[in-house]
Amino acid sequence: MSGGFYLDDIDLTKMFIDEWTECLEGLEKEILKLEVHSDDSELLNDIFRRVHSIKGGSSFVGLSGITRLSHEIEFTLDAIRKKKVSVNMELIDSLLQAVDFLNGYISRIYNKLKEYDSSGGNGTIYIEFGEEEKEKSVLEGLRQALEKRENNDEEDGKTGETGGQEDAELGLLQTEEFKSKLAEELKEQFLLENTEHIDRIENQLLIQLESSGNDKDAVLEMFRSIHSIKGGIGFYLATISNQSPYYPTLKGFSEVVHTFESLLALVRDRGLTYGNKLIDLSYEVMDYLKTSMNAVASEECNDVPTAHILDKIERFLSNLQSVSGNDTESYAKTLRPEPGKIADMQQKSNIMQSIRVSQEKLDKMMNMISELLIAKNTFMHIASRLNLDYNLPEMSKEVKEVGAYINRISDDLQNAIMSIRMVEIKTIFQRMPRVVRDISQSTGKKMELIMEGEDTEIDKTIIEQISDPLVHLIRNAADHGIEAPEERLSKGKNETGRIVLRAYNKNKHVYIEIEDDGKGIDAESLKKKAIEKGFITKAEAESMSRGQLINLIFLPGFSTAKQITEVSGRGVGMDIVKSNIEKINGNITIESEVDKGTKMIIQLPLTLAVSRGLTVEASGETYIFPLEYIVETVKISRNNIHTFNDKYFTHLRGDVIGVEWLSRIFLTGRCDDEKEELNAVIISNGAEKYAIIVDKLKSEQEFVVKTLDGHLSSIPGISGSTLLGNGRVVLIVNPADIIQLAQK
Amino acid sequence: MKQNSGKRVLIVDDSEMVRNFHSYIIRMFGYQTETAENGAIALEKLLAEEYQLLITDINMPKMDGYELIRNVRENGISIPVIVVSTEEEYRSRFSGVEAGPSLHMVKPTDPEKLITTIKMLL
Repeated sequence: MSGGFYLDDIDLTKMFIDEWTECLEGLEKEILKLEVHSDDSELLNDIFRRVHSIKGGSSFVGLSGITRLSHEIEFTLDAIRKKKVSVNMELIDSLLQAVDFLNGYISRIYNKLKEYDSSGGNGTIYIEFGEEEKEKSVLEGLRQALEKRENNDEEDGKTGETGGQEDAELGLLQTEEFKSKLAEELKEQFLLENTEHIDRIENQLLIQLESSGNDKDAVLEMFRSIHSIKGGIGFYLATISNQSPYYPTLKGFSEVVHTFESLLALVRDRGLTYGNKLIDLSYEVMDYLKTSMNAVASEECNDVPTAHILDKIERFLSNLQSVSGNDTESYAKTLRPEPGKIADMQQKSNIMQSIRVSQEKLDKMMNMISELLIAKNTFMHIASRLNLDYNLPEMSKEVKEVGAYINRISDDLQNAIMSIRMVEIKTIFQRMPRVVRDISQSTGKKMELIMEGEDTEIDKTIIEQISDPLVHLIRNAADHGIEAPEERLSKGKNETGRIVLRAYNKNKHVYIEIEDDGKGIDAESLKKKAIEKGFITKAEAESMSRGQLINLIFLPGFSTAKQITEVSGRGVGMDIVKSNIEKINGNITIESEVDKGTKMIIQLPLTLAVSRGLTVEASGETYIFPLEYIVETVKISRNNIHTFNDKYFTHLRGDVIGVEWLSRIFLTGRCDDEKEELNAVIISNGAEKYAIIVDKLKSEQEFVVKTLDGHLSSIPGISGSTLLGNGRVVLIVNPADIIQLAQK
Repeated sequence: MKQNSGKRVLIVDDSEMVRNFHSYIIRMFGYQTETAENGAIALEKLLAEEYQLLITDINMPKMDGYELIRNVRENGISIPVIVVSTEEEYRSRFSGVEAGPSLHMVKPTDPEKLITTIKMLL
């Protein structure tokens, strides 16, 4: 940045300069007088007036350097005038220095203008100064002198005589009460912003840097993020009383961030490679920052120890510094991108404009929309009654039209709200590289994680629910799936294991796949183990398909790891993973081949709020089957139903599948034996299909799940209830349960 | 404090916490405040409505404080501007006498100094 400026209005500026020179004359003497006569209010007012007029004029012609300087002088004078500080020699000295500098500054401009005039220029002039260092030290001197006086006076107890109401108001800003209120006001935001920065560093920048330590853009971004955190903690710390129980934690936090920033600045300026050791250190720093944040968030008052991590950063820093830094300058030059490029990068890292809305508000809105969806169904119901029961086809048509109109609006509304709730799956995918990295570090295995479809969108609530299961599955893949390097080489595989994490949309569902090229699941050893542990009998085992065998790992308490490792836990996971996924109407299936690898496929609904389902009737009761479990609906002729061991079977497109009557499952009636053709809903839990016979297949419609409370909540086979357009309550069938019930 | 109520201050910073920090303090003294998260949004607001003071950060995505001030001045808006940043940031972007901000304050802002400064400017 060149130290220059353009000045267009030369005549005007010259006029002002004349005025300023007058003001400055005598200012020096007056300030000297001030040292002895600091109580002379007339003298003070005069000095004040002079400086103030310089400030006003310079601001008018755009000489902001002068404005800046004169403001600092004015600010100091104001403090003296209001008796906030008492005068001493140091303060007077620094004031004089500032006035001197200002004087020199103005006369240099004046000389330039004269020079320009004699050369007969054309109306604009460009003036350049090289005195920035001096200006900096003058300003610093002034600030410091004032601060020192403030502190001194505080100790001596000289202040306190505040004059006037205005000062009393200003005094408020120093009270503990004000500070603690402000701190309370800022806390949530402080935590949130830090979490965002830390997340980004951990899950994006460090990953980038690990794959390429020379990624200068990433280094710059890294520095910028830490710099922002530093800025934030600076503001927040200013609101925290040093008596506060969090003060030590936050103070430590600030020190660590500060030191780490210096380290990053060095790396940036010298163009150093972001090596593995530095990456490890960075992760440690992030862990420390997270611990501190948690301590503040959970209002725990025990200090987070700082010395260890601080020491580590400092040692790293001094090691770097001791390496010869001869080329620092030239490195620094090549490193700093052009201003234009910075703007580009900022553009890139900028997220679209947005506002934050609390989840609660969105949920409330969604709930209301759900009610609307139910209410709108009523129109269709009334329309058909008007036609059939009251014989008013004209009226019915009108109501139908209004209904369709409202239908359209509510659809749009629903879609809009839905899209607000959608977030990119990236937010959870981002955590996974760290998970894989940690396992790779602790086991010595080599592996890479490839992520696809990170921008797939899914409902926020689902994201929250799926996060833990996904971490578990990734851990499993990395810890149990991928083999040690030697083993992989001996199998003729690439030394580095590959885990693919993939998300995509298909048929109104989101699919997440976790695929590894590890050792796969050995169905035979699973079988042995299941029999040993008494999960199944030998006879049962023999009749099970490979798919069924593999699904055994979802049984509670079933673990395939020969040794329980620290990383992937004690094998209590898979059943919990499955039940967590099912809780959000999802589904998990496994494909695995020995020595080729394993693929877990999770199917999730786009949203939890509204589902589509098929209404059916059985023994006079109406039920809804969620659409995502329905494979198809068919008519089965009675001849095609066979009995074996008290169970019913049928042939369907070459497969043999089980058959059961819904009324038998819910014990609401017996299966009716009269009809020749039976209506069946074919449902699937991912692994198996089952045909469920019902009396009538009715319509497909949207429904909003209302969970059942109390003792009703655990009825097997029922997942909740919903209202139909005619106001009737119907039960929602849980197909996964139904299949289990039917098999018994 | 009542005499301040008609005065509108625009606060620009990419950190919501920092914006709230300034807003909270400035509102205590009866001024009206509005905020923007980057220079581009701030400029839009400045062009659309009248403000009496602009307080801005330097490092921001989209349009930084330097660009914002340049644009403000180019559009003939002559309100006072306070830049809040570290000394380093200020130096890297503004040279001594360049047409620009009225004032610079060092981060983190001292509430008392902030209010005193605003009172001097308005």
